[in-house]
Amino acid sequence: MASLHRIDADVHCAVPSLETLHPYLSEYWRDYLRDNAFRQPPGVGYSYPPWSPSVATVGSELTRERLRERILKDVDVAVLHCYYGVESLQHPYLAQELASAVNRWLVDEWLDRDERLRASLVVTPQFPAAAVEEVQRHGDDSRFVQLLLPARARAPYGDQGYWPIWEAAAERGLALCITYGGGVGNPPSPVNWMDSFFEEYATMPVAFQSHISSLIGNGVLTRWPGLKVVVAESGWTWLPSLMWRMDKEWKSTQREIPWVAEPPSEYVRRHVRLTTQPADVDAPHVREVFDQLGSPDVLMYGSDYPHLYGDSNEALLAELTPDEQSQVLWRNAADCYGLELHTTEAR
Amino acid sequence: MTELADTVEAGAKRRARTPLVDSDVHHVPRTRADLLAYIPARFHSRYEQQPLPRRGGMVVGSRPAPHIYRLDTVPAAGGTPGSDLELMRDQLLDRFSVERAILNPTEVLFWPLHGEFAHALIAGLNDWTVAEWLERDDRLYATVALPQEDSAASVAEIERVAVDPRFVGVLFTVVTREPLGHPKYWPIFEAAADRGLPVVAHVGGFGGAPETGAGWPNYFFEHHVAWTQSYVAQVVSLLAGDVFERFPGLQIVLEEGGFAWAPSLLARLDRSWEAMRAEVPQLERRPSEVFREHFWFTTQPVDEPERADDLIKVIDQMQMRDRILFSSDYPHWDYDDPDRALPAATPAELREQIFRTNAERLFRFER
Repeated sequence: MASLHRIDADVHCAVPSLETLHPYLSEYWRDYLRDNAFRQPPGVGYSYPPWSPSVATVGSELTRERLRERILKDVDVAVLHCYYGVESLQHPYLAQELASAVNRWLVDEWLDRDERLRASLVVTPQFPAAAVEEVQRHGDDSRFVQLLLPARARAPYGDQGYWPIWEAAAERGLALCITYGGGVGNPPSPVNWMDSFFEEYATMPVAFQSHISSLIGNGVLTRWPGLKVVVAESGWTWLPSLMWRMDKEWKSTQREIPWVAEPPSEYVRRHVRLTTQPADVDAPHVREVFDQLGSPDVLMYGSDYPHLYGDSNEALLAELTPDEQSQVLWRNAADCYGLELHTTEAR
Repeated sequence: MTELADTVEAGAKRRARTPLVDSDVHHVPRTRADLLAYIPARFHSRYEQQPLPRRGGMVVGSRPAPHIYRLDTVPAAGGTPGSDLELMRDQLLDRFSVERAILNPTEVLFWPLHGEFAHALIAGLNDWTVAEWLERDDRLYATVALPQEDSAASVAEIERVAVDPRFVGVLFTVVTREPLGHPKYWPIFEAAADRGLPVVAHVGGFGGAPETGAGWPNYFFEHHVAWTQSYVAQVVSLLAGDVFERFPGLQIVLEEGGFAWAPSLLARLDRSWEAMRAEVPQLERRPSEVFREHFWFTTQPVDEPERADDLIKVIDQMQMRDRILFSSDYPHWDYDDPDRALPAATPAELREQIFRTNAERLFRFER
């Protein structure tokens, strides 16, 4: 690929064990979690069952060595997500303590050790005041480029309850990154609990659709015109049908949401960015669906390392023109995150 | 009438029409009291006083319209839209040469769906459908309304009314209390499949969970976009739930939920199945393959790609030209006009399939 640069907008690291976080926990919580044999928030095992081959990480979990050898050798910048299931805790102070510990661990163990790294800030969307504090604590560190928001949520992210968090994020130029997973105790579908992880995994993209229509319908993208929304790790081929449906419904519901002044698809193309992997489309139709996005601006290359979904990136890139390739491989992410790459130096 | 409307009217009358099948039309009691004659007297008081299940916190209250009907479908003599057969003939059946129309009673979208009261109401509704509609126009067919959350009562209702060949399917609201792969629904599927009746999952209903997998939406706009979520969940649950292995003859019609979401879902299902077969050993074949043998879609509200012809590309990605059925949803506000529902570039052969032959095959209409 003859692109000047490459940004990987979707790399996952994980907290190896609770002990890893001990240096970042108060004595009170360290003792408490030891005494009640706490291992990790329930959302972690719920979103990424360790036995599932689709998310198997044994032997490939991100270490600094693997990051260097498998990711950073090919990219200028990598954005790390560290999902830790803090949205699955109902205890507001425990959730905040853990979110804060993960962020400080991210700084010490990852961001401080390689200048090519950026990260998503772990916050507790269900407890907005705590989330705002966390944004205030780290949000001016430019290595945190976005907030990590699991797709399964108590309420869709346009809801006004979240607005103080979005206000704090928008002031600092942070994007909202909605990512695969989440466990909040509500059923994952309007028809109640599914029977298997297979079913929940297959239906996950529609949770993202709730957030997109909510952020648009509630006027969040009008209120904070510079805000970017990143959709990570759940494909992109469902986006055209969502845009068509939203534009159609908007025609007949404008009077209910008068602040939505343009067709919803316009907000999507201006504000929403999706990472490329995994893509759910039969190979012969990749170009067709890419064209249905209606813009080369919306996709950002992501490897989704170390999740084993199979690689769909090469099939997509092979269908793109050189200009489109450079947009997907780095320009869109550089714009979204305000990253300045040294454009005169090829890698 | 405006000049434009006159022209449209004249054009509609001039055009020689191919007869069509409309797979989703709604017939409605003129007033609530119309159904009393079909409901046992001991339930009259409850029916008149408080027919709806107790549910708070829905978003439909902010719907930017007074009701769910086309404004011009209100009968001149009064009564609810959809209650006047003459008007339905004029606006739909005669006007568009509808050879057969399938009536789906919408009351069940709002009614309780289990318990003795529900069963009595729904049995009355089915009897009313026969007496007031099917008997009055031989172009009309209907689906059997069911107290769907009570399998035994639903099976009894199918046994009671489906002896009438004018009932060509059984009706579910797409939102159910459990996902449709749940074994509680198996007796209903068995009764339907045994009689060659497709299960029609129509938009609407209340499951008890938040309306989306990401919580309750705020606006009607979101609510209406979010219907897709129920269809997606039902497809996945039915495929994973061993339903089609048990009832190979079962056919599912997804009504009023669009279908542009299907290609990416099918690709995701196949990919997930490759990776996770061990968790769903009962799913022995590729999900997309099973899907193409058991699912059908109605068109309204038709997906409207930015480039209209992309609708044909979507159907071809699904490889399901033979399983798309035209529906108008008359007399609802988001009705689709048969003349404008499909892109102009739709090939004649596909048009014929969607407007007529697919429905004839599914519902076993003889020509």
